[in-house]
Amino acid sequence: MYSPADVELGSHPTAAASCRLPVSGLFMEIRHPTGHEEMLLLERPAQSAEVAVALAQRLGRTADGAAIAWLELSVTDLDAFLLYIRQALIGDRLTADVWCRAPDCGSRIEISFSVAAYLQRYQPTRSGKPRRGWIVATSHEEPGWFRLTPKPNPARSRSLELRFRLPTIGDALAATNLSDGEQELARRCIRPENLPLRTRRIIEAAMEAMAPPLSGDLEGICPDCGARVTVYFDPRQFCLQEFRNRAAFVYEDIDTLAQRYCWSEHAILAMPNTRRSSYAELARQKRYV
Amino acid sequence: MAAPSYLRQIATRQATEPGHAMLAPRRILFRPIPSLASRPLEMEAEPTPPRLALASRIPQAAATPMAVSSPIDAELHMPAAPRERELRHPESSVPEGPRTLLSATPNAADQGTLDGPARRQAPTVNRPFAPSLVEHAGSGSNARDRTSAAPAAHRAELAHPEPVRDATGIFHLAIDTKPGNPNAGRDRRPVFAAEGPASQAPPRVDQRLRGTEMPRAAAELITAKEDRILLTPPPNRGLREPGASTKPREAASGGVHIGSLEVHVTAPPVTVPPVTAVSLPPSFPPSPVTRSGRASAPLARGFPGFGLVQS
Repeated sequence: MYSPADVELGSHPTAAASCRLPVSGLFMEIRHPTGHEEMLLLERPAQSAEVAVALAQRLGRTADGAAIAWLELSVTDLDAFLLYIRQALIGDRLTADVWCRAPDCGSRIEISFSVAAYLQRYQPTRSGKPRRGWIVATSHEEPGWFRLTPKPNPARSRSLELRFRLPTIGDALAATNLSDGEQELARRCIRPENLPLRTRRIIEAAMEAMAPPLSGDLEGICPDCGARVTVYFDPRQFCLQEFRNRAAFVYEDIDTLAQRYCWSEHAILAMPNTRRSSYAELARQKRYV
Repeated sequence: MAAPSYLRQIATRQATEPGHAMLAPRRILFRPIPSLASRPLEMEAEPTPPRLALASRIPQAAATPMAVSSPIDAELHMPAAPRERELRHPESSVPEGPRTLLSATPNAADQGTLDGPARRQAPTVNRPFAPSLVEHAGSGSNARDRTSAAPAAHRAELAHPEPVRDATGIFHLAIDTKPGNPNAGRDRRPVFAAEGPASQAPPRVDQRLRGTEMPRAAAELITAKEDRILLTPPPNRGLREPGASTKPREAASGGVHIGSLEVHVTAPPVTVPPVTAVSLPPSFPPSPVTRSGRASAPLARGFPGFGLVQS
């Protein structure tokens, strides 16, 4: 029996798109997703950060084909990569609906923006640029760490040197289920520990400039009542939900192709989803001719 | 309220205020269709021979009731076929016994809109939305169709929950985009676009029967079944005035109207016992049927499983 796995060009199609991660600067290629990625989305717990990492590991490769250690990259890189995947597979225009929460209004408000413009807005600044009287420099002793030192000031008797690193996805995953995740992140990423809150805020401001979080509040004005509308946008959850919605048809495709061609589930899942959808669509067309 | 600290944002990934809404993607009702599988419009409009599997599947029993899945639940007692001939897709798994008209697909234009590649199945969670969409598909028709299409489509949707969309995910109102229809193109919503009349107008049955490119098997089948089921266009179909679509139907004295088609049930060979009766719902008084008689019953449009040309 013929199987799609017999086709050599089967499961490793060309890259769907390429992108450069904003914080690490890695040049990435985005592979076409297959049914395995769709099963991953559908059968893992929803909104799980591990799902996002697993999806990025499956779809992202460097230009030379090497895998990426996503747990060591910043959270911003992961979120940006998911937006790039969304841009490549679905489109640049992101559209959603919210409802005005003002009393006696409740009208539907459509929010639409460009992914590219959104990413452009949250471009990180480079280290080494003076910011609010502080200078950020790369630490040569510890890779991945930065030194935050105040500008030379003759009025100060001693210079204070702070060290920090950007929170990675591994840090965020470790802090997810903790009651005080913020403290856990500070313990992992800031030295020395137990800094005064004001000093820690300076470090966090430097972190935010170097790896701005892509999740945050979006504000607007209700066109009907004029009330201020604020919605929270989490690109990771948004993109995963979109991918999950589209992946919901994989079961139907498997059923259709298995009935028509007697292919195994594994062989069907190994196909790029565009090809699988095409086969399934043709099978449906033939069914009703 | 002050913005949370950077580390808090990373750790919690929550809105600044608990009451803020979360931006969520729109739910998709219909599968995205890859461009590789979409056929050009001229192929959609190309007339193909009708697949009269309906007649060929009639069992050998003398008089077998053939359930017509219609809003009126009419049953036609069809005579037995003079000779058995099968022309159906190998995958079709229609059980033996009483047959429905669900498998009749007369032309490619319908397959492109109602029953063919356009069959898109929504995710299970979205299926409750499908009937309203189907009802909307009939909103651009004339008054008679509007009155009958909504409940018919709803019932049809219950039986066959596949929503009706085409390869682009857009509703195609083949029925309502014929030139001269006063309601054509009235719907401006972007998700429901009316396709052009050239690709949607169903080919006339007589043209298809006269087609020279008809496959040989289908031509033989049509010839063999002509004595039992004749699909003929309604009178003056092409010259019908806008808004007066009900008049030809009412004026037509014979045949079962399936949309714009008229099915004539004629006499079987002598060996076949006579047809007993036509059962109709109370709203339609039963009409007596003889060996050469005809039953008249309008079937609602918008029924996705039919695949027959609707007017």
